[in-house]
Amino acid sequence: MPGQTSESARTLPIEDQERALIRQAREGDAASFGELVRRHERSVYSVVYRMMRSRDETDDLVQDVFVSAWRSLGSFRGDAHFGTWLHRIAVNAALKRIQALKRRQGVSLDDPGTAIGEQVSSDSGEGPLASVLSAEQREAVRKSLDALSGNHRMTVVLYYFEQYSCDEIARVMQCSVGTVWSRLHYACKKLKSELSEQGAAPEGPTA
Amino acid sequence: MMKAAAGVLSERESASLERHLSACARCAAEMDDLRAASALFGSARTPVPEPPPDLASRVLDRIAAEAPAPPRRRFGIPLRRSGAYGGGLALGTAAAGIALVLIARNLTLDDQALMTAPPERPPVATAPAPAAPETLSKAPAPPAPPAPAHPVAVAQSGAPRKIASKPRVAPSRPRAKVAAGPGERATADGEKRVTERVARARVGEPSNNITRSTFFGVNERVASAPAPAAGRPAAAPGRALGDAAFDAASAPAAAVPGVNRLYSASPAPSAPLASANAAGLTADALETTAQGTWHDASVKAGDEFAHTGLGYGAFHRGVALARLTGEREARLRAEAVEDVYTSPDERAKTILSY
Repeated sequence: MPGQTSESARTLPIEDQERALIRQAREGDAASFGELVRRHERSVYSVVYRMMRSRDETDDLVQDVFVSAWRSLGSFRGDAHFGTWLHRIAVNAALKRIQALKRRQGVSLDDPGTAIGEQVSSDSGEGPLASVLSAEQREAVRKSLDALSGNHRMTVVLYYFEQYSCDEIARVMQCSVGTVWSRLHYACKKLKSELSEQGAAPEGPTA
Repeated sequence: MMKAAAGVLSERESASLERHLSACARCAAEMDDLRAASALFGSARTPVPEPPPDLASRVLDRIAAEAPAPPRRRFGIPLRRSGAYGGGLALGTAAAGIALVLIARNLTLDDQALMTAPPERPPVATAPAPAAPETLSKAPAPPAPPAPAHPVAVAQSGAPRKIASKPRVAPSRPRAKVAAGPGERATADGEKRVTERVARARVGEPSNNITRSTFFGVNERVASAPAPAAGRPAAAPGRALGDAAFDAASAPAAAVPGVNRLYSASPAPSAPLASANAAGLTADALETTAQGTWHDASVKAGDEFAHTGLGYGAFHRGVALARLTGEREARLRAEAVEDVYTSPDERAKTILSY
């Protein structure tokens, strides 16, 4: 039965497909939920990874996010896109986990040279964009992100790294658009002050 | 300026800002800094690793293997209040809470059974009942269903609540009678307190009367109506949501479907009702009530009441829901919304939308 329903769902337009999958999942069809996981795993994984900056942590947390989504499907009212709803769970879970880790470790989650180094390193072969930053600039970005609260950092991650619009961020983070702009403004000022402290070029990317 | 730095200003806004910047060196300097920082953040974006190829199957394995999670012991731990504020205040308000709640409810001592309800009473065979969703008896745990669980299903889940274990003798519960005249008085705030005697029919027991007061910021009344067909959301019948739910929670199991509808009946409740419920019902209260003893719940309610003035309503509704649906269902609902919504208002609205 689950196989049949998922099969029939594939013939529908994408949004209808998703609605059908959600409906079937709400009725207890795990296979349909599995299809929803496959559709959204990449974007959820990306957001969580950018916050956690550790593959192990991310692997665990993303599983938790989807299991939590399964449990919470009954509360999905359909007044937001399923992806937005899912990202809301992911964002909350990541913020909670970071808070817990910080409490437990008593230090920043990020170990210099490993965590954010992985995020913006130009030596890791992760992509051409990071290579346009000088070492000082990378360090300033790392430090400024470390110094931000979870909410501020999540806002930066979603806006600059995941390229969400401010409206989308506001929906995911359950805050106003003004708050999103304010957080971005604060983060940029923080970065500027890090750059000033390091004497790094404030003009932006060097390439 | 941040919008300008991010390049999302309209032409008109942009021109207006540029005019100002050309005349204000300080803002111009800040604008330069913001633009540079914004560009840096934008350039710091790097690719992320691919998710594990077996992520979906791992998730499905966990869903399939997952036994009902043990209740999280959250009572007694400050949930949103941390540090010195939380610990001391929670203790300090605990004693006041008990007194406050008991005074407010005017509970008579003949309701000792309610206060100390043992959760492990074996379920007693019930009379033929309308088909009940068996969502709670499913394994693995399905998502919290949109339709409220029936107490019979709760009894089957192995976590019988007192209300589910009661033998049912009547197809409908006796309606609570609102005492008129002497039973009604107004507080200094103009809020109404209505003292009611709620008759509870129980097999083998004399009618167990509870005298209590309602104490809601908004004491609403909506039309009393017969129960519509099962499963169909309907306008909430009876009195204020918390009152009616409480009454029905105190009534035999036969009455429960009608009251469950109260919780499923608010896609578009009246504005005052929505705001009262949104403010009054919190996931914390639900969870505390579902997991703790009645005593715990009273303390928690007092704590919330002392802080927000709204916890008593939350307590009422939490008690009602926990007793109606069983501990597990109430906990699932509380957990479900907690994971998704950080705002208490959103959580409350969502719980009510079940």
